[in-house]
Amino acid sequence: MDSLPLYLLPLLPLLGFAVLMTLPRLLPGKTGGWLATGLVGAAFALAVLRYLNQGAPAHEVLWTWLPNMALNANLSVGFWLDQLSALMALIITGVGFLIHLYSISYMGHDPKFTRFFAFLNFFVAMMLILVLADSYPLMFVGWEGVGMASYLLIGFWFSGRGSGSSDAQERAASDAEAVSNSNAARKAFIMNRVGDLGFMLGMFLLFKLYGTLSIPELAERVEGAQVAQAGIELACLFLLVGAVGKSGQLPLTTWLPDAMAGPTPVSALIHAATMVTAGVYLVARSHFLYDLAPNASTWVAWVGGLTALYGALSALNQSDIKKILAYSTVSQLGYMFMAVGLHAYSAGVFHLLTHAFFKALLFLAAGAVIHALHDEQDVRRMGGLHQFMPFTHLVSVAGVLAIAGIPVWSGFFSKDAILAAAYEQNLALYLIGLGVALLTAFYMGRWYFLVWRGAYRGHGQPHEADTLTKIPLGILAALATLAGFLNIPTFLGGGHAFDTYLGRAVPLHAHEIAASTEWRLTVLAVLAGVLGLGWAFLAHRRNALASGPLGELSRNSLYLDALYDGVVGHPSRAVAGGLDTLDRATDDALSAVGRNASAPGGLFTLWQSGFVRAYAVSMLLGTAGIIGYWALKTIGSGT
Amino acid sequence: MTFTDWLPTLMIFLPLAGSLLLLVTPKRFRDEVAGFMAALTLGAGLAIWRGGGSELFRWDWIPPLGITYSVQLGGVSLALALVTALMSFIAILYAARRIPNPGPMLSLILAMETGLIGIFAAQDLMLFYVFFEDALIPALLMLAIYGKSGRMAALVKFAAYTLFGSLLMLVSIIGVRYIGGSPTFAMTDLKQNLVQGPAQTWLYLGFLAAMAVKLPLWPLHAWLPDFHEQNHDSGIPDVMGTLYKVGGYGLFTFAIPLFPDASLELRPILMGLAAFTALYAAWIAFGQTDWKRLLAYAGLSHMGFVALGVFSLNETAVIGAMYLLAFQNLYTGALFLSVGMLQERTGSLDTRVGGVMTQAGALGGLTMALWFASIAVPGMAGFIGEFSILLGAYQVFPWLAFIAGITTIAAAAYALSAFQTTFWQARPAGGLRVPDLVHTEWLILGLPLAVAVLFGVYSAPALNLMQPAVRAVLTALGGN
Repeated sequence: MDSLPLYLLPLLPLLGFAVLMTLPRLLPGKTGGWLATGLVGAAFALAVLRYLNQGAPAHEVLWTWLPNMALNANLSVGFWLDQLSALMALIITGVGFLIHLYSISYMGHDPKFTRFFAFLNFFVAMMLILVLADSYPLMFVGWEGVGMASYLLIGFWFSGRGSGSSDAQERAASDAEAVSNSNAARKAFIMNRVGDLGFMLGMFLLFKLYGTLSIPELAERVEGAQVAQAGIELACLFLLVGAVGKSGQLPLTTWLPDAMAGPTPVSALIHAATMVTAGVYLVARSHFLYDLAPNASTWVAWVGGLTALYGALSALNQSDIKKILAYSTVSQLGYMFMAVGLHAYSAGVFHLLTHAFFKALLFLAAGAVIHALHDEQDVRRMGGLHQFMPFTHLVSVAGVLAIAGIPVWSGFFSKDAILAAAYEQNLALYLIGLGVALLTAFYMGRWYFLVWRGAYRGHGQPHEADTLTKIPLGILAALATLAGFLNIPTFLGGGHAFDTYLGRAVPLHAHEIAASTEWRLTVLAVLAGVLGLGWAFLAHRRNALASGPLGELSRNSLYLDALYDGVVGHPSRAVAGGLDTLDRATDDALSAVGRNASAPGGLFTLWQSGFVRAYAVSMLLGTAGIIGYWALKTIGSGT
Repeated sequence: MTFTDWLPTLMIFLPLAGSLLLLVTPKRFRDEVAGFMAALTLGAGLAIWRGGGSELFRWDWIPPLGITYSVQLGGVSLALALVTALMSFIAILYAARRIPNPGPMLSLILAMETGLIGIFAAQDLMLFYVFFEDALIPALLMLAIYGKSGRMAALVKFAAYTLFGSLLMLVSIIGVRYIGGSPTFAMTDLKQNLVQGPAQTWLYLGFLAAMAVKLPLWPLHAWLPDFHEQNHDSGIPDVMGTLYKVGGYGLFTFAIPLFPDASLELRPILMGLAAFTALYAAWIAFGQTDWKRLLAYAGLSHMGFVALGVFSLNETAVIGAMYLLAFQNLYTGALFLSVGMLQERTGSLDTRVGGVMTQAGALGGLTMALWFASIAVPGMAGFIGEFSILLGAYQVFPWLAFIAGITTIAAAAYALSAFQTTFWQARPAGGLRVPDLVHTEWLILGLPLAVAVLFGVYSAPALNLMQPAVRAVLTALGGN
């Protein structure tokens, strides 16, 4: 069955997008949603088939595309399937399928139901192009494509959800929501573009160094090429800027929490499970470059470490059920960056996998809660929901335990691998990682207790989610619980199955830590998780969770947004105004030159007075002048 | 002489014939006749494309002065002529729909099309000059007849800039022939008799003056925003005005082969100016609140890119520049028309109308897609152009590529901000109800978008046309 071509993978959802966009009238009710879900499901089946029949990396070239960007040839569009891209394709289509399924229920009452699925399908197609691309420019197609999808979906409610309301107050609230949703979408796109410029510059430099942008060709050339070390380092740093933009890392992180303006399934799929991990994928895909660039790799690791800390600190005192999860995503992505920066690619990608499960799960559970409470998102007005929504509560517990790193849930295994790699190479990063693990357990505990435990503090009657919602939640909960067993480390008696699999695509760096040390590290990590949860529990008992630690500092996410607005946003708007004035002034200056040049002409118009006597005098004077000239000339020549 | 040799000439003069024919056509058939002639022109272009481009056709026009009628449509010139024919056709479609009693407008569009295709086909410098000036007259008339209240000032400015540049170019053209000692003004002869030394630089500067006005390039761009702002609300003259930005093409076909040393010598300065133009214009666009001024600056920014590519003399960048020059006409033109449709519905060209997309979903959606094309999202034709330009320019001067690259961020900022405040957010209470697209309007916005997507994804046909032509031109530089 490996004759099924790779291009079908992105093509199926892309077709779905085209059909849903152009022919929505042929798909009444929820048929559009089912069609989109079915197509992503088919893509998942394809990905599974290709995974099962996987041998050597497959390279399928389609048609010529960009001038002169491969070795002595035009660059072609082509797809590349190795272990890394196969795994990513499985995550995208698998988790994507579950979230599509969930959305059929979640978005069921939205007037733009079919449009929503069109965009989701578009996103899946672009994400598949991103991971399957055989060249950086094609990856960039997916890269900006998912950015576009993200823009469309963050801004999905661009006119507010109550714009038809006749109540003035509701209408005003809806209009405010419209502005903030639209702003969030635009901000995401522009900040991503900053990263994209870095990505582009990286490509330009790579082309300058190696003369090609095709990834397999590059991987071959990099080995033997004599290239200045500084060049490789710089190229890797450029790529890092791109990765930082897409993955919401410092300093381009502030768009990701704002992106929660989109519908919850979007937050789960795009802003947690798949798109934001593209940066991690980019670094892992470019491992052959980062392996040669130790300084750039250190930068990657530190960006990751600091972002992990930043996200965790910002999550401590949020009160929006989705914002807590958003900052948590920022923080967890930081872990992945730390891992790939330390050349522990497999650990990073493994955390990407488990995170996709448990964070998608948490978001979807949050979505179920938001639905149950009729669009209430403030955790301070929740509480005690475990009585009303037992199933959703159960799966949320699985998610919280997984992210807190409690054995045997999946997050325990993946986070442990990253911390072990950090301990081995950089103690400072390890300590940050351990501290973040503690903070993670605390803020997730806070999330859990505020939403599910204690007394119900809201109004209205919450209801349990429907069956269609429960299916994806159940499957994701099972995966979040069990996925860790894919990669049991040696000292726990496992065989590193995941590492072995991925090791065929990215280099593995052999562990050099003694088993006893590993045990100690594991105990410390688990302790951090338990302590964090315990801290949250104690605070819950004291009823002190509503306002978390660090107060306003954390609530305003360390004032980074305000800083950017002051340093970049306002000045650039002011400069635009100033340049406009300047441009009109340039124009005026040139016009003034023109006027001055034509001014002497005005003098001559005075002469053309229209009076015959004036012309007669002019003639007389002219004749006199000529005669006088001749006379003087004759006298002067002396003859 | 076979029929195929006549095809370029046919393509050039068919629209003019149509334009004259309209003068005697009864009122009720004018739309059809104009559309038919434009379609026929496009058909002639496609026939040339099918034959793989035409041979050089040469006829001694005014032998005593050494002026020949040499025309050829192949490679880059064919691509540009095809896009021109397509967009003129679209402009006619919209003019027939939008403008009451459109006779003069249709006639002017066709007359201008002749001038534009002639510019691309001309292989004789004097002929080029003739067509270059010829296209100006319909442009001025459109502004004069259909413009807004400030049109006379805009017209004088536009004409002054263009004519001033053209005069310097004319001097250069004459200089190129007599100093070089060529028997005629035909490119084939001129290339055999290149001017050497400092004279070449001076002549290049003269030629450059006209092209920089037409590109346009900072600081000779001041006519552009006023030109677009004062033109008819429908955006039709703006489509033709966009097509008239032929400076990049003139530099590519004539300046590089005729002034190779000067091109190399002035490369750093010119690339710097181009990169600056791109960023400067994009930044100003960010501050605009009038859609037409905004589009004018956006177009100026694109032209900065085109100039950056051409001036860099790097093969990839020059291909990209020609690609961008050809295909930006599609989406910039269609955006002008979409602004026209917006104005027809809301009565305003302001970027703060708000919430239009809630009621006119298709207009909003297509406009958004066109904006994405315009800010060079990959998968659209603009990306291939911009990316190739930046990549090529980076190989020559990395810092200038970086400065021009910042434009891509600024472009997202201006495009999405204006789009958001017009089409997104809430419709103000009590605002007019905005009807969605009807009838041919779908085609008018959809067709350019479809072509832009097609050539963004499957670029091989266009690349096959342009790549050999660019290589041929750059060989004049001797291995650079």
